[in-house]
Order: sequence, then C-alpha cells, then structure tokens
Amino acid sequence: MNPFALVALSACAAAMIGAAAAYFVRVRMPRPPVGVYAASDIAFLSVGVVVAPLLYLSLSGAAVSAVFGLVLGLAVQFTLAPVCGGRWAWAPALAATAVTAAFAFADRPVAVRVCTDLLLVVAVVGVANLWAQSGMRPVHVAAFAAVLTGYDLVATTLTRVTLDFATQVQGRPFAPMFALTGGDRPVAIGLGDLLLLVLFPLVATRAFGRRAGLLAASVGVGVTGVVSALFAVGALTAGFPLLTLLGPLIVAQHLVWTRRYGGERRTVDWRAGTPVRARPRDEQALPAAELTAALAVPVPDGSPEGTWFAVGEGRVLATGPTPGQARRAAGRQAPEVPVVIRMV
Amino acid sequence: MFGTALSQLRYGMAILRNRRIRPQDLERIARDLVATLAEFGEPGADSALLPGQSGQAAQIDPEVRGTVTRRSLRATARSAVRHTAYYHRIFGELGLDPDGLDAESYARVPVTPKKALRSMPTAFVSSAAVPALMALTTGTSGAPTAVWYSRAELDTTIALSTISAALGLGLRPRHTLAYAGCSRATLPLLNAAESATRVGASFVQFGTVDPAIALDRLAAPLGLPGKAPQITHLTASASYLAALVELAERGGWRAADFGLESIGVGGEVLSEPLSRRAEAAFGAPVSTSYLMTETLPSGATPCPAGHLHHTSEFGHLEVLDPLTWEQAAPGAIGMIVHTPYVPYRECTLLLRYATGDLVRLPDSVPSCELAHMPATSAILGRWTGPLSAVLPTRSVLDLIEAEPEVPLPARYVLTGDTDSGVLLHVLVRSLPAAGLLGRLEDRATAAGLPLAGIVLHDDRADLPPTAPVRADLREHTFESVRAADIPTGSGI
Repeated sequence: MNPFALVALSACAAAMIGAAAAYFVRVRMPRPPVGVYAASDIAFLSVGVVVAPLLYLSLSGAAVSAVFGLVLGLAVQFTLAPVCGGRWAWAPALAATAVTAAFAFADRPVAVRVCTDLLLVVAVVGVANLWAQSGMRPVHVAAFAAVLTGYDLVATTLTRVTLDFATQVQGRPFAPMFALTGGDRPVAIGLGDLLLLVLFPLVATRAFGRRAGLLAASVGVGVTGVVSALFAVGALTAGFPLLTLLGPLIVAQHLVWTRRYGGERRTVDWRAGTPVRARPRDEQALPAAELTAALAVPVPDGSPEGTWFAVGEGRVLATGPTPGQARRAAGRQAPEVPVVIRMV
Repeated sequence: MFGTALSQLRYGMAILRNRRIRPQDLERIARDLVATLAEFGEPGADSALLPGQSGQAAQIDPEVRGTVTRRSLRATARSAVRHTAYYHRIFGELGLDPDGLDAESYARVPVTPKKALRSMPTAFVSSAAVPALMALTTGTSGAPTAVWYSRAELDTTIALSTISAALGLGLRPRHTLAYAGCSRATLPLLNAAESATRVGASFVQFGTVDPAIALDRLAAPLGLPGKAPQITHLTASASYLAALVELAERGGWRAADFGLESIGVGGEVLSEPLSRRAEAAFGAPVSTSYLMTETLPSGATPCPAGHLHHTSEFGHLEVLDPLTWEQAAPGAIGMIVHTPYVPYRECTLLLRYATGDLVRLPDSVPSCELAHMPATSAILGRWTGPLSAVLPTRSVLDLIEAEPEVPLPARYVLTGDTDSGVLLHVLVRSLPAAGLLGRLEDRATAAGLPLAGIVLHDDRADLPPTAPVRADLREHTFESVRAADIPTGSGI
C-alpha cells in the first residue's frame, strides 16, 4: 500500500474531526420538538447497520449507488441547511450528486472518488453533528460502538459480508467508504468507522468537557495511524475492521469519564458554557450544610415552645409565631442570606 | 426518538380517524417532552404543534379543518346517540341522524342545559365506557354538577396537562407549585398534582384554608435540595387570590417576602384591578386560562390583545344568544356552548352543552398571534338572567376591586331591573365614604354601566344576600396564625 496515502488517511481523519468540531461549536442544527435518544434508538440503528449490507448484497451495484447517492445528497442538504438556508442547501447537494454521477458516466474514476469523498465528509460531519446535537449520550455511542465492534468482527473476519460488499461498491460513485486510492487494495475507511471516529469526540466534548473531546479525537486519530502503520510495514494486508480497536477504546473512555464525573453534562449546560463537575453518587450525597448547621445552632434560653427560628449563617436571624413570619423578619434583616426554619 | 415519533404518529392517526386514543401515546409524548426539556432546556422547533398547543390549527388548511370538524361532530354525536340515554331519546324524538350532521345542521341539535346534566348525570354516561371518577363542580351557583370520567380520559387529560404545565406554565424541576383550590375539586387537584410532579416540580396542596395560613406557607422557606427557596407557583381561584391580596396588603407583607414567579387563576372572573394588585403584592405575573370540569380537555388561552382563544382541537365552540340560542352577532354578548369531542371524551358525552359562561364576540376578525383560533372576550360572568348580560360580573368587579376601601374578595349584589333601575350594593370597610362613592359613580358612568345608583354598606348583615364565591369554601385546619402569642423578633 502507498505509505503516503496511509499517512494522508490519518491526516484526513484528523481534519474531519476538526471540521465536525468547528461545525459543532458554530452551527446549531434543528431538532424535533420532543425526543431524546433512548436505548431503543440505538437498537434500531444497530439493526439497520447489520441488515443493510445484507440487503445491499441482493441489489445490483448500480442500485446500491443510487441508494447511497440519495442518502448522501439528503445528508449534504441537511448539513448545509442551517448554514445557508434549507432551499439554498439543495443547490450544492444536488449539484455535487449530479457531478459525481456525471463523472461516473464519463468513466473518470479519480474524479468519482474525489467527489464521493467530499460528499462523504460533509455527510459524516452532518450526521455526527445531528446525533451529537440531538442529545445522543456517550453511553449510547459506547453501546453502538460495542455492537458495531462485534458485528465488524463477524462481518469482516468470520464471514465475507464486508469483503463482498466492498467489492460490490468499490470504484462506484457514492460508495460508503472514504478512499484515497483505488485498485484492489484501496487506502480507505468505511463509513461506519468514520462516523464513530468523528461522533465520539463531539459527544465526549459535550458530556465530559474539552479534555475528554481532545482525548477521544487523539485516540481516534491514533488508532487510524497505528492501523495505517501496520499496513505500511506489511503486518496487515487484507481489510482490517478498524472498530475492533476503536470500539473498545470508546467504551473504555466512556467508563473512565463516567466513573470520574459520576454523570455527564447536559446539552443545555454545554451550550451555557457550564463546566463539567463531578456529581456525587447517591450514596455520597450529603445533607445540605445549612440544614446541618441550623440543627447545631443553640436555642436561646427562654424561647416559648412553638417559636419558629429563622436560621442563617450559623445564627438565629429572627423568630416568629409561624415559619412565614419568622422568614419575613429574617428577610427584612438579611435579605440575601438563605434561611432555614426550625421550631422549638 | 423513534419511540416518540411512533407515539405521535399513533396519536395523530387516532385523531384523524376519530378512534380511541391510547393514553400511553400521550403519556409517552409528555414524558419525552420533560426529558427533552431536561436535556436541552427548551423544546425543539415547532413545539406549538404538540397536542393541546396552539399551533396545530394554524398549520391546517381551512377546508381540511372544516372536514375534521364535521367528522368530529358526527363521531361525537354518533357515540352520544348510540350510548347515552339522553341523546338517544332526543335524537329519536326529533328524527335527527348523527351521520348527516355538519357544522350548519348541527344547530338543529337542541342545546343541552346545565340543569339536564345536573339533574341526571348518568343519562349522559356512555354505556360503552367504564366510569372511574366522579368529578364534581364546586356548585357556587347552586347544586354541584357531576361529571363521570373514565380512567383513560383521566390519563389523557393528565398527559395533556403535563405538556401544558411544561410549555404553557413553564414549570421546571426547581419549581414548587401550591394549589389553593378546593380540595374536593378532585379533577383539577389530580391534574395539578400529577402534571407538576411529572414535570419534576414539587407540589403542595393548600386547599382553601384560612388565607392567613396560605400566605404564611407561601412565605416560609422550603429548604429542599434542588428546589427554589420558596414556593414559586400558585394556583387559586380569583376570590381566594383576592383574599390573599387583602391580607398581604393590610398585613404589611412585601413582594420580597415571597418567592413567587407565577400566579395562575381559574374558575372565576379575574378583574384587571385584582390582577394588578396581586402582581404588586406578590411580585409575580398573574395569568388566567379557561377550563371547566364538564368540557375538559377543551379550554381557552388569553392573548396579549385581550382575546380568549378557544382550542378547536378538543371540541366545538359556539357562542349563542342565551335567550334565543341563535348565533351571537359580532360585538354581542353570548354564552359559550361547547361540544367536547370523541375520542378525547368517552364517558360523559355532551352535545352543545350550555356552560353558562358569558363572553362577547369580537367586532372584527382578530389579527393577533392566535388569530387562527376562535376568539372571544375574556369570560364576562355567569348567565343568571338578562341583567347578567347587561351588567356582567366583570364590569362590576373592574369597578369595585380597583378601590382599596372595598374589602377583598369584593361583596356586592345588584338589585332591581333595567326597567325600574339597577342598584349596586357594595360592602365597604367603613362609612361614611363619600369620596369612594363619588369615585365609583364617576367611574361607573365613564364605563357606561347602566346603574341607577350605588349603595355602600359597612355591615355585611345589612347587605342584601350576595352570591357565594369560591373563597367561601373554607377548609378548616387545626393551625392558627392569628391567635399565636409568640412575638415576632429579630437579631438574636
């Protein structure tokens, strides 16, 4: 394999992650009025990923190209729509799809590959952002990666599904693989690998912060680099399922960050710029300090039974015959002090 | 995502085909809305298209809307005739065919008076339904009206209330809602408690206890983890709110003593002056909406232009002259006559139900943001005879509740008639009150109220009998905030 192309592949992966991150920060994608990701959504996606190649294998190569052409065209449209408006986004989406198809009819394989790669890049940036901005959680990405890892192992190493599918779409327009070279052994990454490579850094950034996002991106590029290096030195020769390495690392990162923070940052907090904070686990949740302090404040001698005390800053601020009146008196004296009410 | 979409699809199909709604679908939509708000802080695009929100009608072509109305009316009438004794008999006697009804011929269906439902609620209960809860109105105008609801209707109504609490009221988990309505009003109480807690907010049932106790609870700190320091939302009837305002103003309370962010009023006419005084006393905006036990889940929402916009999703609205039952003319006062649709309702079925609530139709076609929904004025009052349309409750309350010398809730009564002259009797704090009387007379004249005179009383025993208000439904407790002998002090 061409070593320069292998190096370029890792660079392209890094550039795609960077492009998706820039889009993530600057562009807000529309989402439906109601709906968050649930386990059933991941199950649905996983079933789709497993079943789709089997269906494609029963179709002709041209039909598969048509299906992917449609999917990529739509993906490019909804990726560009928030940037330039829904109607205007149709123009580049249709133009890019039409040009790619025209090159295919003109038998210009390099041009077809370049156009398809460009369409794929935009589509992957869009889909990854759609999922990340729609609230897909790290646990969902980890579960999806785990399922795909298992599937990839079976489909690539134990059966011929991936190989047959790759052979079917190789060299065709809109092929679901980012390819830098052609031929029998192209330097390429499959669409599924690419999607998780780009998706997890976005989701990790949103849920666990910038450091987690950078680590996820580094891990993704590193895995791509290591696999490329193994191809370059001849340790690997046939198609290698990238997710068998990347998937477990995504799961591991998710577990590490979840363990560290005890939870994750919500989208609303990420948009507000709220830093990620470790959340105490249920068993570690301590009583509020002001409540404990209020219990420790000594009751003044001679206080009639039934007196309500408004306690704040470790002292009795006011008293009253009812909680409301004690609070009112305390509020007049120290309006900013949080008050706890206690009766004797 | 896919599950929510599927639930929305199933819900939409049930509505289009007038088939039974699966409460689980609405519950799923409501639950996912709450999860969406927790994740994103706000709903996504087009949230006005969610069930019960105001945007659906705006998206529908008028011709399609007409078809949907016709189909809904026919389905509702068909169910009512087939399964309820009252409409089975009425339609049989008149030879009406429910399958031949449209928006025009629907006017041939006789209006159902409130008295018919009150006298025999079971005649309106569908033989195909499983009644689960008898919801009673408060009955301030006489005997309470009983309306039976099935379990599925309750689930549907609660899910719609949850959506409304999250989107309309803006309720969030940090909030605490206090319900100061009558504890025997089971349905609104159930709806308020369920919807608030499903949103993640906390809920406190006050009941209509001594207003001094309620005021104290509003001021008391909560000290709960993850919650605002004090109660943030209050729901009350207008007269009970008036009692709270009276105590707050006269008891030296300030808005800063409370943590209220929103006050919702329902069940009675809320006058403009009372709304303003409540906002000043509690430092929170006051809003009102229109819902009634008999016609749930139909309701109406006010708009900034002063209209009351009635949802056309859950029922059919007519505004009729209360004497002739003809369609009220633009600018005229009429009574709300409502038909709640099947499949939202399946237990107590009502066709052209005379609610007794008076409104005025707009003079011209509204151009406000909710113009796609049928518009009326705010509720003017309750129909008790021709005088109630000439001098509706709202016009009198707008006049007298602006005066601090009139104790709240305002007690008044109209005597006489328009031929011999109408006298307005008002309870005031003390007499003589020449200045107050002069102001009231001037303002009544300016407002064009056809009053022959105003009589002030400082003793309720001298006042002719007044109509009861919801604040009179006092619930007793063993607490007392008035007789306490513990002094208030500070700085220990």
